[in-house]
Amino acid sequence: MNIRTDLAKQALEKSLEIREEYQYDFRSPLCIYELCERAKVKVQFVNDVSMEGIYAALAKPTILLSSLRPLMRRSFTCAHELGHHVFGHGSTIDELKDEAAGKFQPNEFLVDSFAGFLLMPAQGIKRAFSSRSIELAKAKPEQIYTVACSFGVGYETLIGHLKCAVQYITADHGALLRKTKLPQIRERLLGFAAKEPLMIVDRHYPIGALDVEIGTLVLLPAGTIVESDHIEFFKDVPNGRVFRAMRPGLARAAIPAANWGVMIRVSRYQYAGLARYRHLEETDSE
Amino acid sequence: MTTGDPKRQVIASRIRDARRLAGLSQGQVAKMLGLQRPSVTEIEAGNRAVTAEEISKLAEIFDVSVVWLLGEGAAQLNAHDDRLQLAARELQKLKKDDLDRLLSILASMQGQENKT
Repeated sequence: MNIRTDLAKQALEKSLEIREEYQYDFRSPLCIYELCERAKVKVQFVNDVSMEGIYAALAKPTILLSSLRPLMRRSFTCAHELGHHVFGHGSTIDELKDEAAGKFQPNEFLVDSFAGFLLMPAQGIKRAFSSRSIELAKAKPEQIYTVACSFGVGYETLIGHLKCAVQYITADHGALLRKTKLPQIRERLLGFAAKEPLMIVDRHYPIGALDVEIGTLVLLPAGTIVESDHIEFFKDVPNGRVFRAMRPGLARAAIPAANWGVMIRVSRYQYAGLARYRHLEETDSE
Repeated sequence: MTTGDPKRQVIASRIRDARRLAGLSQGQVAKMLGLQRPSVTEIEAGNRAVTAEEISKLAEIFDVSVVWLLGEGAAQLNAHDDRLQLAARELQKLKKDDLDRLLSILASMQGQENKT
């Protein structure tokens, strides 16, 4: 068996083992910060160290993540660092991805694969596309982006996983998808150009909560009502209703008539602090 | 301990650092402790003594060790500390300033155990 195949197999098995140990099913998206909390691994965001993430193998295992990186990149990096923990690697520093590109490193490949399988389980991916009546082999960039949001991962991360790990799309399809950049996808989904990060929540969104930070635009289904000033209505577009995250805290978005709802957790922009407090409201005395 | 007591000042300074590291404001910490915000300001200024119970609660809120909050242990972890299991090749990945910052952050966890 080739080394990459062998490592990917180990990663897949470990991801299933961890899901089982911490009582997650084998197909639903999960919140990586909640999993780390259950696994008693401390997660700390920092905004003054130039890196992707760090795993410190201390008596209290600790993951440090750069909040200067995009929100969904942080989730993947957290799962990657958790991989170093569960595979018993010592303390590890992960540089910014662009600087780390280079020769094949087995441990890095192993934990990247682990992060992929943990956050994007194969069964869950199939369900995410089928429940939206999307044919995977013909999926368009906006559809891939929507599914990526539902797993809390980045667009390119999902493409890489679909192509290399679960092999649900061809290399040609992957290359074609990569040609469409995020600003184009945002414009197609929103109907206007937007520089801000965009999170898509449709009626098939599988978990009850999602993380955003101040300034993020959230596209919610038509008819959605939000009774909170943590996110603010921006405008109606053909694909739904656009809101903007305004201040830290929790906002419930719902379509009462359809018995559908989701909790939106807003954190400060480039929040530095413990993951457990990322969406804590400010107090009146601030 | 009195206001000018160096030990109290160290504790006050570590409480302030740990709060900032945890991403909390004085108001949020005051709410968690059931105090008024000025009480936390006074604690961080070294003007108000902290009880053992408050130290224990603060360590839990900030997820740092009680020992470190009490001023024990270095302000910065040694990169070659065996407990860190940080290989030399890993150290080369960060610039000196970033490494110093990292070791300061990790210092707050000295003596911290993973409670089950």
